[in-house]
Amino acid sequence: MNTQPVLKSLFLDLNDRTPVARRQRRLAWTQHARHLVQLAFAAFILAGSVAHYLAGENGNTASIDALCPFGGVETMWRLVTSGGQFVSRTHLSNLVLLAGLVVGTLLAGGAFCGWVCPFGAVQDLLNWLRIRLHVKPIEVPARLDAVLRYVRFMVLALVLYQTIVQTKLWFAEFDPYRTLFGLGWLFEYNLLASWPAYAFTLVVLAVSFLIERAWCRYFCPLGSVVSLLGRFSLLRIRREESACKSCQLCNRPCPVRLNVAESRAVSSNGVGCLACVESCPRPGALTVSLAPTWASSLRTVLGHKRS
Amino acid sequence: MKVSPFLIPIVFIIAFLGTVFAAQRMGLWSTSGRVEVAPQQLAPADIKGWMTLQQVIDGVGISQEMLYRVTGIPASVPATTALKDLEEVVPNFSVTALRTAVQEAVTPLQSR
Repeated sequence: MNTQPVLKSLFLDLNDRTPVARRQRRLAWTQHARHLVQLAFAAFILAGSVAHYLAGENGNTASIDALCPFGGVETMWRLVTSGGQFVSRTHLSNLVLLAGLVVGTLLAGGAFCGWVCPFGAVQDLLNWLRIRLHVKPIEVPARLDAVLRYVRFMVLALVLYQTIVQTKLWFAEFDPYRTLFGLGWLFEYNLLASWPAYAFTLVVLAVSFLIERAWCRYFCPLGSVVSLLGRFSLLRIRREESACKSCQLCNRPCPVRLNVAESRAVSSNGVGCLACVESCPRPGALTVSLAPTWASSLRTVLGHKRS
Repeated sequence: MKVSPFLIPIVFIIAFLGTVFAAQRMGLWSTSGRVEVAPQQLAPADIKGWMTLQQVIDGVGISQEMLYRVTGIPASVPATTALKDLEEVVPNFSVTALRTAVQEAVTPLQSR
């Protein structure tokens, strides 16, 4: 079978050996691999939701609430203050997933958002659809973008406050990930009871269609937790200023619009998609290194003290 | 030390799934708080949202009439209803409030 036409449609002309073509191929393969992993996780969650509904009330399958690391964040306060009681609908599985997220993020940064999160996959799908439909994206001005990025920390604070006060999963009533992947809209559709969740989800999807990864960048409370932990991650993407020509090519494919070309290390707001690294034309300008940024800061401080 | 960029997703996924598998091996993975409710062995503080009204009645050893009265649940609600579903049926219902109401109702009975 001649695969060249298919590969060409994916910008993968294998006969083109120019550096630009090689770079495009590398970028395309990386992003295809990422989307496959995202799809696998999304399919697993969807299959779990279907199984949960088919099993019914007395079934032994996990609900979507039990399979989210954010449930671990939400139940933490109650767990500590009540001596071991969980917020309703959260379980040990939430804590285990949160532990996995913490360990993974401390080692490898925000890869959860780029490679695992099913709602991130939905937003990438919306972006692909927008490109296919030739709809122009909305580019948020840099200064407004910088301010809006703090909103998700406010969302996190609000969700935690409401969960503590109401001792229930308050955010579950709005959470677009839960609304979409929980499949309540398919198996127990109830417009009267669930219209706030449906409306909120539709708004989030519409905004994420026009602004790439808008939910992740501005509103996701779990994303804010990942961002905070990512500051201490062992693996970081760094920019070597002596090798970089500030051509800005690394900024273009970034799904969360980070200014990689002018940073020393890629911000912890990154989703670990590697698009910046794979699109960089300068060898050694963008690399992944094993030392966290806080370690180099510490070395600098200690070096100054010694001298 | 410079490493392959692909270590970022590989390390994350191994760490994330590895933690889940390790927890499962250690018996720390549970997606449900459901346990068998033994008759008259359930303390009000241990009432969970997944329990049905009937399980609370049997587990605590309280009459259906008293349970419905102290918690303000309409008599039309069947005893097979799970507590977590009552939030949509009974105004201002919460499992925490039910625990408190049941505790207050059974304390005089236990002190006799």
